[in-house]
Amino acid sequence: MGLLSGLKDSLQRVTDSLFSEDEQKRIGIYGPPNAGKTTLANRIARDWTGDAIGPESHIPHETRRARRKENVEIERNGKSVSIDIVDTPGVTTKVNYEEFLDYEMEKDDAVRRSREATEGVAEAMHWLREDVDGVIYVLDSTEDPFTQVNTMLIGIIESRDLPVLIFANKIDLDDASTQRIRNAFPQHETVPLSALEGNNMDEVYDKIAEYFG
Amino acid sequence: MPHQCTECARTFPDGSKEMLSGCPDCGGNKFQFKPADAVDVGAGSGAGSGSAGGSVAEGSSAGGDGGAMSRAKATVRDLMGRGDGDDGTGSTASESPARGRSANAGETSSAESASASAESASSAESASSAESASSAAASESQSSGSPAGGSSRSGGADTDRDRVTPSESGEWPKSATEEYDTPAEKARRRESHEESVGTTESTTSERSVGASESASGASESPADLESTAGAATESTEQDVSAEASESASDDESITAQMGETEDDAQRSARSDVVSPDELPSRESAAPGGMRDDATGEPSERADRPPSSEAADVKDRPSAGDVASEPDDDSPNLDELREELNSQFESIKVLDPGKYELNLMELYDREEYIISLQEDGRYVIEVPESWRGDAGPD
Repeated sequence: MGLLSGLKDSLQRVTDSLFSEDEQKRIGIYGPPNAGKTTLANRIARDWTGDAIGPESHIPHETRRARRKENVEIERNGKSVSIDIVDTPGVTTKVNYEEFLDYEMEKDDAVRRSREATEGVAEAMHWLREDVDGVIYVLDSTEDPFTQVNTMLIGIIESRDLPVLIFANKIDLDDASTQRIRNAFPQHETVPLSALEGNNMDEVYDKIAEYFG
Repeated sequence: MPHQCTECARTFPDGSKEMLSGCPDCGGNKFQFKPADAVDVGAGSGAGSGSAGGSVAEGSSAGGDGGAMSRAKATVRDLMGRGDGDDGTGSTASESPARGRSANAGETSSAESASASAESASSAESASSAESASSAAASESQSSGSPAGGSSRSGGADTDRDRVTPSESGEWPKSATEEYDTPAEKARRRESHEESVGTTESTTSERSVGASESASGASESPADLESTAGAATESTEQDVSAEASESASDDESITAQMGETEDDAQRSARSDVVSPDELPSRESAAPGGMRDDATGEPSERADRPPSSEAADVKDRPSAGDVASEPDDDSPNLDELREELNSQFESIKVLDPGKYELNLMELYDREEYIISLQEDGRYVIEVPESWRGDAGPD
C-alpha cells in the first residue's frame, strides 16, 4: 500500500508539474513554540485535503518533527495553487524540561520531550536551510514579537530572499494585537487570523495563493 | 600549530576556538600565524610576548592604521632611548622594547600583509605620527633625564629605517615568525650587535618580518624621510655601517643603500628584541602603552640568554605584558571566553533536559542533527539519507 501510495504521489506530482506553470512550492510554517503553527497547518490541510497534519497541543513543543503535507491545492479566484506544507517544530533558543512539568508531565517524559524538542529545532533550522521555497511565519499576536528568535529567523529568511508571509495568529484572544506584529516587521505582509477559530481564513488563502502560487 | 599567542607563545592548532576569546593562559589577544616550519619558539617567544603587550594598547589607539602608527610611535620612543645612548646619558634600553612592540604590532595584526599595508600607508603619515609620538616620548625622556631633541630627531630616522630595512633586505620575505629564530641565531645576532652598539639587537629579522612583504611600497619611503633621518643619523653612521656589515648575511643591500642614514637607534630597532625586563611594568605603562621607564639597562638584556626568555615570560607573565592588563580591568574574561566559545556550539547541553541552541549555527551547518544522546553526544546524518527514511508522513 505504501508503495502504491508512493507511486500515486509521484504520479500526482507528474500531473501537477504538467498542469502547473511553476514547480510546486514547499512552504515552511515557522515560528516560535505555541504560536499555532500546527493548528494553522491542520486548518489549511483540512480545508483543502480533508486530512490533518499533526496533533495540536497547548503544551509547547508538541510538534518535534517536521511534518509535511504535499500537494495541498488551494483554489482562489478560479485558479488552483498547489503547495507542499511543512509544519515545523517551534524554534527557540532555550529548551528546559522544567517548563513541561507545569503540564503535569513526569520528569522523564519532560526530559525526553525537551530533548526531542531540541532535535526538532535543529530539524526546523535544517529545513529552512535546505528545503523550503517560502515561509509562513506564525506569531502569537498576544505575545511580544520582538524576540531574538523572531528577529533571527526573519533575518535568515530575508537573507535567503524567500517569500514570507507573517501570520498574526490568535486574534480571537482579547489581548491580541495585530498592529504590534505589523510594527515589528513592517517590511512584510502581516495577515491577522485565528487558525483555531478559522477567522479571516479567506484572506489567508488569498495571500498564500498570491505569494506562493 | 599554526597559531601562536604573541604574549606567552602558547600555540594553538589551526581552527582552534580557544583563541577566539583570547589566550587562555595569559589573556593575550594577539596571535600570529605560525607555519609548521617555524616551530622554534624558544628564543623568540619571550621577545614576542613581551613586545606584543605594548602593541595592544598602541595598536588600538591608532585605529585602522594601528600598525603604522604604533610603529612610528614606538620608533620614536625607541630612538629616544637610543638618542640617550648617543648623548651619553646611558639609557639605551628603552628602544628595544619599543621596537619589539612596533614590530609585533605589525606582525600580530595579521602576518605580513598587514604590516605591508601598514607600512605603505605609513609612508606619508609616519613623519607626522612619529613627530607627535616623539613629542610624547620626549616628555617622557625629559623626565628620565634624556634630551628631548635627540629623541625627536632620531624618531624621523628610525621611522625611515622602519620601512627601509625590510624592503631592502632583498631576502626572501620571511614570515612573521621569523623573529622566532633559533636561540643560537638570535644569540649570534645579539652578540654581533652588541659589539658595535653595546645594546643587543635580535630583531634584525624581526624588522624584516614586519615589512619584508611590503618591499615595493616600503622602498619608496626612505627617500622621503631621508632628510629627516639625515640629521639624526650622521653621528651614528659609523655604527650603522658596522652593524650592517655584521648582519651582512641578510642585510647587505641595506648596508649599501641605507648605510648613510642608519643610526644606532635604527639598528637597534631593526635588530633588537625586547626582553621582558625592559618592558614597563604593567601598572606603570600598560594602559596607554606608553613607556615611562626608558631607563632599562642594556646590560640587563644582554644578560638574558635568549633561550631563557620564553621561560621567563611564562614565569612572570606580567612583566611588561600590556595585554594581560585587562585581567584587572575585566575580571569576567573567563565568562566572556566561555560565552564566546559556547556560541560556536550549535546545541549546548546544560543539563539533561536543558538545552541552549545556537540558531545560526544550526542553520549554517551542513550536517543535520537527528538525535541527541543523554551524554551530550549527538547523531548526525546527511540530509538525503534521513529524507529517505522519514519521507512524507
